[in-house]
Amino acid sequence: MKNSLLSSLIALGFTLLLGCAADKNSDVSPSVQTGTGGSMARFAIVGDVLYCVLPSKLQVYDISTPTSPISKKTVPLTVGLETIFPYKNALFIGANDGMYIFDNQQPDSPVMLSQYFHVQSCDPVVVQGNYAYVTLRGGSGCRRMATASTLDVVDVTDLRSPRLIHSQTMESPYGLGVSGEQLFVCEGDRGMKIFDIKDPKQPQLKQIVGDIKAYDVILTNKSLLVTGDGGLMQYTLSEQGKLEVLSKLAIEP
Amino acid sequence: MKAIAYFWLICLGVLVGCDSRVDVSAPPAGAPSFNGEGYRPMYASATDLAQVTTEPPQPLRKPGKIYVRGNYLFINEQGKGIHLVDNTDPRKPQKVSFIKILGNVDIAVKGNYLYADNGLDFVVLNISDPTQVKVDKRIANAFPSPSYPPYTQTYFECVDATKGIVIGWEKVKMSRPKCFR
Repeated sequence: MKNSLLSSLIALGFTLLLGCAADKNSDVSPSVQTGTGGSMARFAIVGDVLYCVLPSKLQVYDISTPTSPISKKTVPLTVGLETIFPYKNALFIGANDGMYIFDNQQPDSPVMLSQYFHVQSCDPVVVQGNYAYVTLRGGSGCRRMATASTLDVVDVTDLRSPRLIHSQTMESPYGLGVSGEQLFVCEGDRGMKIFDIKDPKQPQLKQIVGDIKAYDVILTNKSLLVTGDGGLMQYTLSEQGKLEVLSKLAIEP
Repeated sequence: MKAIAYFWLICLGVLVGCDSRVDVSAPPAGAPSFNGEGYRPMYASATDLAQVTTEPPQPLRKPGKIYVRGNYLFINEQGKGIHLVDNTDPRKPQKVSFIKILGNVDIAVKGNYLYADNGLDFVVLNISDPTQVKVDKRIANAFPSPSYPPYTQTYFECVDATKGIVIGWEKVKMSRPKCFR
């Protein structure tokens, strides 16, 4: 009797704790002319507009006169915004409590279409076709409770109602990149994982590059760039999907 | 009786855990115990922050975000500035210069202009000559002042605004600091 009372009280306490964790806000992470940032970027340029993701708002600057950015619009959002990924006519903003999707057909005046919520985490997002790939990192750095880290696939065919269609466990994912049939996911000290996404809904783990520390990845037509605590690695990817090291800019003491 | 004590203990933990203040003299329930290391804010004065200069190439120490435009790579050195790298040949990337921008985290480039955060300020740099970058525009106080490090479940020294503007955080050995989030 006493024991069951005790355990139910503990369960209650736990529920309250979890509820509290979910409520609490936490953190405050292309054309020829314009460049490309990684999936962890908080700044992004689309045409004549620069988007800055600040901890609690999306700030829009008109940079048609490059030397005098004009503040156009400020969209207050939740606390804990981290990343921005422009794709076609939309902006995908990764936040601690989920992903926000904006229509930016009129670039200087983005309009929120939907919010995709999940438990608290850090979550960069990349998009290709009708699918968004989001990493959710658990553990001490990000999620409050020691929840699992995952790679989620979200169907964004209808930008107004994103749907989770796949989720798989990861170790400690950070940035990610997508190109054609391959998805690259940085796993911090555990290296980088390469997934086959011939079926974009079901990423299949193909290769683990375990000898590097990987924080973010950028894909360009020349190379695959991976940053991390060890420095900056550049690779080429053969048609067979084999990675070949092109160069390394190493950390110096 | 013991159960009731547990209950109150849990309630107390929940209350403390939900407290949104960062300055707590006792860490909330469920917090990891302090392991001797915490984050310390790094400060700079407004005068130092305003000194954006182009310097010779410097070693990569704590690289942050990267940005690619054309043949150039821009590698953030956390809180310190940007390494400008000529990547015409990705087998032999060449460091060209280091742009000292204290408090820098994010970068975006369009044409010959680089947009960056410089502590609380937003700066536009003309990079047409990467060895002589110049500030074309400074928008003061465009960004909020950080009052905690970009991590959670972590102990840190509380920010003291009289010491200057926070330009980054370093993990160092310390006695248990007052702040936790």
